[in-house]
Order: sequence, then C-alpha cells, then structure tokens
Amino acid sequence: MATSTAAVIFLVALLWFYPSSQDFAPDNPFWNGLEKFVQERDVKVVSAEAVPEDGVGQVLILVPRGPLSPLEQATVQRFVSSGGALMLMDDFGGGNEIARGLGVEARFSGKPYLDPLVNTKNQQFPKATFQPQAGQRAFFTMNQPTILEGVSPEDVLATSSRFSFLDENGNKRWDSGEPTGPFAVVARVLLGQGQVVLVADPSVLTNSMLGQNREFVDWLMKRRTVMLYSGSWSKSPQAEAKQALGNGRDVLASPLGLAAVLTLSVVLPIFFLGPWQRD
Amino acid sequence: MKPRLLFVVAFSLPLLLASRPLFLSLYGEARVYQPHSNPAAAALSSNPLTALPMGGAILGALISGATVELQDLKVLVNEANLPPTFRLIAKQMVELSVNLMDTLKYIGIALQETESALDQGLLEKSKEQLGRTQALIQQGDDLVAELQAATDQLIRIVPVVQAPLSDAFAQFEQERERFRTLWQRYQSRIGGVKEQIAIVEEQGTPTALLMNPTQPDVIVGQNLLVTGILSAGGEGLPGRDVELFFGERPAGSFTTEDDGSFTIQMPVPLLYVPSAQLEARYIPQGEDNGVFRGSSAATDVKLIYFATSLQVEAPAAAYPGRSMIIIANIDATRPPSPERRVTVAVAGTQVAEAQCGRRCELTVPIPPDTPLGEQWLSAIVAAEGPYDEVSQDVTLSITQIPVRVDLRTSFWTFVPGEVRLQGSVDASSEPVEQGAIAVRFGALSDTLAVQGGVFSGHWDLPPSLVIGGPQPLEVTFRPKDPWLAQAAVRRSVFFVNLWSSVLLAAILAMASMGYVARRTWHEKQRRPVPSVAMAVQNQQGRVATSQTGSWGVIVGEFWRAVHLVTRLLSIQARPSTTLREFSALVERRLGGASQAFQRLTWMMEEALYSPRRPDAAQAKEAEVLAKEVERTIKDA
Repeated sequence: MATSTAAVIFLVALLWFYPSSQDFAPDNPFWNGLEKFVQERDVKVVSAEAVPEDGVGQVLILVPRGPLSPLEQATVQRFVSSGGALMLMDDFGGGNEIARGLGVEARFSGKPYLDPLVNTKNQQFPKATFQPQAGQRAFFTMNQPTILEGVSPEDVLATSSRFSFLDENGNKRWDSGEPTGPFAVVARVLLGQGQVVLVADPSVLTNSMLGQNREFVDWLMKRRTVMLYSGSWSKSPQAEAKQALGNGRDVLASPLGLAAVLTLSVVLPIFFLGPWQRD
Repeated sequence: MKPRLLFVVAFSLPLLLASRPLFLSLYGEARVYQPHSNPAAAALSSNPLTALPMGGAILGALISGATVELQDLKVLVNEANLPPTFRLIAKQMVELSVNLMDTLKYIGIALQETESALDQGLLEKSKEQLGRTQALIQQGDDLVAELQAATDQLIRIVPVVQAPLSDAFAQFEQERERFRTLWQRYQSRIGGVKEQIAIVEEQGTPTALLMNPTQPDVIVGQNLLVTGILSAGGEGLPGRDVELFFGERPAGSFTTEDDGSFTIQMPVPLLYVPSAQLEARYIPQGEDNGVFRGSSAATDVKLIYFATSLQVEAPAAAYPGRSMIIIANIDATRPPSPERRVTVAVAGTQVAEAQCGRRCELTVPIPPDTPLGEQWLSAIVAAEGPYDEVSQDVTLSITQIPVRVDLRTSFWTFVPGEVRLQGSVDASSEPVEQGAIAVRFGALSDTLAVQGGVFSGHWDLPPSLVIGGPQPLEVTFRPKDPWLAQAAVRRSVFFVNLWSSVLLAAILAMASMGYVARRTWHEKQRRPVPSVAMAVQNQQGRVATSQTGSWGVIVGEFWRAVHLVTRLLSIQARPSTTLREFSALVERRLGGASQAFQRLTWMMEEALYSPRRPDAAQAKEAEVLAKEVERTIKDA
C-alpha cells in the first residue's frame, strides 16, 4: 500500500512540477513554446474578458486553435475597431473563421509551402523577405508555414522566394502544376481604426525560432504593448492533467475543502493507527 | 484497491493519454499538417542538387547567356528526367534568367525607340520612351537582385555538390559579372541618350542658327533677353519654330520673325549651378523636311545665385511623443535671406514645417513610434528664388525618461488575509500622471491605474494549502506616455498560513498520538521482559498470571521451570544472566531434561523477541516441556 501511494504521489508531483510542453504555451521553455518571447517583450497573457476596450498602441497576438465563440469574436472585433492591431498567426488552424468573422478577405491556404533553395537547414524552414525600410530587404525564417490567399498586392508585407512552392498533395516535393512563389506570407489589412496582420506561421515566435527572427518580430510588433490571447494554445493531456490538479487544489483551498481535509486528517490517523489495530 | 492494480492504472493512464496523438495520426483525418518541427533536430537539406551530374549540363548551359539558348533550356528542362524539386529550381532559374534577358531586350528596344524619336525630333515621345526604359531598368534591377540571391544560395551549397558542377558555378559568377556589365552598359546608354539628341543631318539646304544673350550673366529666376537669327543660304527663315533648352531642360520655343530674326525674353530656370548651357535647336518639320537641314546654336550663360547656409541647434536627446525646440540659423550670401521654408524630418519622417527668417525656433514633435537610439534629424531649407537649397543632418538620441517606482508593502502577511500595496511613480522627480501598474503576486495578476503619480491596491488572499514562506511580488509600471520608460520593482512578501499551519500541526499531532498509542499497546502486550534474576526472587508468579493467552502460558511455564531449577539445584543467577546463559549454566546438571529445558528456553525467547504471536499448540508444547523438566528434576 505504501509503495503504491508513493507512486501516485510521485506521478502527481511530476505532473505538477514538470513544465508545460504544449505548442505556443507562454510557460513552455522548450523549443515549441513562447516563454522566451513572453519574457523578452513582457507579454501579458489575456483572456477574452481581459482584452482592453481601447486597443490604441497595443498588439493582440492570436494563434487560433479553432473557431472563437461569439463573445470572443465580438471582443476581438471591438479591439481592432478601437485602433488595436490584431496579429492573427496561423498555419493550419482556424484562422480563416476569424478572418471571415472580421470581414477580412484574405485567407490562410492551410497547405504547407516549402522552399528547396532559399531556406535554413532544409525546405521546411523557408526564408521569407520583408522590407524593414524602403529599399531594404531582410529575411526571416519560417517553420513549416502556409501561405496567404486573396491578399491585395498593396497589403503584402512579406513574401516567399520564387523558388518556393505550395505542396498541395503533401508529398514534400514539387509536382508539376503545384503553384510556385513568390507567395504572400505576411499581410496587413486596415479595419476600422485598427488593423489585422495575418502571419502565415505562428512558429516564428517560438523559443527555437526567435533568435533568427528578432529583427522581423521587432519590426512587426514595433514598440507597442503586446498581449497574447489565452486561447492561443490547445491543451495537451499533460496540460489537462495539470489543470485538473489545479482545480483540485482550488477545491481543497476552499473553506469547505479545508474543513474536509481537517476532518480526514483527524479521522484517518485514528482509523489506521488506532489502538484497535493489531498485527 | 490492490497496489498492483493501482500501479497499472497509474502508469497506463498517462500512456493512454499520450497515445492519443498517435491514434489521431493513424486514424484521424486523412491529412494533418504539423504546425512546426524542432529546427535543432532538423536534418540539413538532402540536397536537391544530388542529381547534378544530370543537371550540371543544364545549369552550365543556363548560365551561358543568350536569350535563344535560355528558351532552348526551358525545353531542355521540361524534357530532362530531373527530380521534381531540382526541376523546380532549374525551372525558376531559367524563368528568372529569361525574365532578365527579356527585360534587357525590352530595354534595348525602348532605347532604340528613344533614339528614333530623337532622330525625328519627337521630344515628347522620346521622353515617354525614356520613362519606360527607366521602369524597365528598375524591374531588371530587381531581377538581378533576386537572381544574385538565388545564386548565392546555390553557391552556399556548392561544397556538397560533386565536381561536375563546379565549373557551372564558376560560370554563375561570370554570368553575374556579365549582368553587372550589362547594367552598366544600360546605365551608360541612358546617360548617353541626351548626347545622342542631335539635329538630324538630312538632305536639304544647310541652315544657320545664331543666338546671342544680351548679358553674360544673369540671376536665376530673372529674365534673360536673347536675340538671334535663323537663316539658310544667307536668307532669313521666317515663321520657323525654334526650341530652347537651358541646362538640358526645355525652356520653351518661339517663332522667327519675317526676316528670320528673333528676340525673346526667357525666364532663367532656378538652377543653382555656376553656369548652364543655353541651346537653341531648329528641327525641320512639315514641308521643311528634306528641304532644310536642322541647326543649333549654344552658348554658356553664367548663373548668379545666393548660397544658403544653415546651422541647426538641437538638444542631444529627444523623447518619443514629446516635442522639442530646435533653432535654425539661416543665412545667405548677400542680399540678406528672406523668409525661407524649413522642413524637419526625424528618422526619415517629416515632422515639422515653418517659414523662417534668419533665426527661428521650430517646435519639432517626435513621433511616438520613433525607434529608440541614434536617429538623424534632417533640416532642409527649400530653395527660394535665387537662394539655393541647403540641408543639415544632426544626430539625435531618441531615449525615454527613466521612471522610478516607489513601492510600499508589508514584509509579511497572513493567509487567509490580504495584501496591500501602495506606491508612487515619478520621473525626473515629477509624479507620473498616467499609466498602469501590472502586479504579479504568485498566481495573482492584476492591473492598477496610476493617478496623480500614486497607486494603491489590495487583494484578499483566500485560504490556501500553501505552508508559507517568501512569495515574489513583481510590480511593473507601463507608461501611457511614450516618452516614459517602463520600470519594474520586485519585492518579497513572507506568507504565514494559519490554516495550513494548524492543519499540519493537527496532522503531526494526530500521527504522533496514533504512534504513541500503538507503541503503548504493544508495550503493554509484551511487558515485562524479565531477567532470570526475577525468577530467583520468585516474581515469576505475578508475571505468569498477569498474562493471558498462549504467550502467557509459555512465559508462565518457562518461569515455573526456571524457579524449580534454581530452587532444587541451588543455582544463583546474576541479574545480568540471559536466558540462554542460564540454559547453558544448568545444562549439565539437568541431565536428561536439559534438551527439554533448552527447547523451552528457545520458545521463551521466541515469545519475547519475535513479532509472531505464539499459538495454542506452542503453548501446549511449553506445558509438556515444563512438566518434563519438573519430572526429571524430581525423579533425580
């Protein structure tokens, strides 16, 4: 009995203390997390209720993992209309639903683009071009991105090289008939007093990519206050287990829970260690 | 729950949860793209140029040059049995080269048409063609930049390419040089277009154009009186149109008088150069074509203008969102400078404009989003009549005013309870009127407003299971004004959790009580552990009778036997004598009963020291052994 109890305690402790490894989680210190970005830019994680009504001078990063609820959609709409900048970063998620809800015509293709020539390491890490200042060209690196469709040329902020191609059938090689670059990968659409910036790859902000994309990120965010929408990462089994543990802790911390714990702490030792217990 | 079952559940649950992505990837949607992968673990590109023994010929031919060959290459690439990705690279390189070659071809055509238009004296058309050529050159420049970037990438992966392509890449470099040469050639052709503007020598009677400015020098912007005559064969040509150019700029046209002479008063363009060429051109048109030849006359005119000087006095540092005052000192060579239009730009963005006399103060607002660091402030005094333009750049340090946050809070607090904090925010000893204070305190996160330079807040700390200890309190000031810097303060507040402390104490107390109770019970069960000396003092009777059950029987029988042996054999045992020592001591004197006594001693030891409780059979055996010892001693 003692051994099994110790095992359960060990598992619970492991779940509790092991850091999150979920994609784009702000407390994830691993390669796919946003911990470095959040710390460097002092990013505040906000829920729908905490999104400010006045968006002037502020950026809200949203990495959609699915459609927003009507309340969330209305909140985002209000933020943009009031002058905020919504950074909609998506590749294979639910960004199109949000774009449609905002009345933006641009769409995420949802299919990966690869670049066998202008890349870092391999074609899954293509380099795209942006113009930090007029007449200047600079590169940033993407990580298995998609492309933007339906973007007006004047709205395009960054493009892929002409050696890139849209891997429509997912076989990781170019086939005759598959569209070739340059593709729009970052675009800005003015909306009300604010703007929606569509970035065809949220991974440019991750811990492993931020180092080579710092100039791009600074250029994109400028000196605005940055917020990360709390629905930007989905919950893994580990995250759900941690959430469950947290909820359990909250229950125990409530007056009723504490009373129950106190009662059990009195009853259980008596029950298990009382004088009537014989060998 | 059985421990083994608990183990199975405890370990299989995480495995089951972890297998969900695997399950989805196997049986989920037909195609699920991965959002990203770890770049640190990513393999270097398996080079698409691995097929280069095959593709080398194509690339080699690709860079060899001529448009016709490039078109052939397109066919070659399409027909070659290349791996798809390499086909893409080759195709795009070919397309890029074809585009560049086509652009160069169009540039050549546009230049040719320009020349033709100039030959015919169609200046508007030639101007239009020159504009088109310039656009094409811009396009060609972009293509060259893109091709260079692509070849740079190819050269980057040269080391992994086999030898057959090394020549091809060397040719790439040569081709790049060829592009540069072509670019320079087109630049020089554009530059030379003006030189090619000449009066076309055609068949017909030669004409002579004489032109004389009435003054050798003139102030720019003023009028210049020019006289002259257009003649052919000594006779003036009346009613002919003559074009005037001043410093290669069209400066109007006039028609000759009845005797072929002309007198015109032309405004001198605002050219701020020491001298410029005044040129008159006669180009035969209409019925004059083929009858007269064209002619021209040119003369240098000395231009007088007044050089402007500008000296800008600006503070060394400026703050985003705030205005600053700069002083512009404007002067000019005589006569004194009139009011001039001054524009000011910061980091490339125009931010102020004013009419200024010789010395004026300008209020320059710094845009809120101006990047921090060293930036250029550029002041430009626009040209005004005979006064030329002048500009001056000064370095400006864009910075933010440091903010000091004074935070006051208690060093410790109870849980449950509340934590209070208050403080002030000031910059340069002045309170900061507006801003927000972000507070992070353990799991607590909140934002306070700064009003009048002060802020305060308090939060209830709900009951918690946290035992206690220091908890970091982070306060970050986020200014509303862009000229203020962000500031952060970190403190530590010590938690004292009454609930959990009481709870812990209760648990420890109850555990201690339980332990003591259990120990007491067992002590009572096994007490006493007598020495042999007690038997000598005849205390074994109480011992035996105070116990019940099998244990008591064994102890009682043993002490009865010991008492019998010591009494009948007159043995004196010391208090420190153990049971086994006593058994050894009496072994010889017991004779036939020694084995029974020894066995009884072992049973006594087992009863005293073993955690296993004796059963009834052992109690019976002890009785038998004790009786055997008694019988043997008595018989002896």
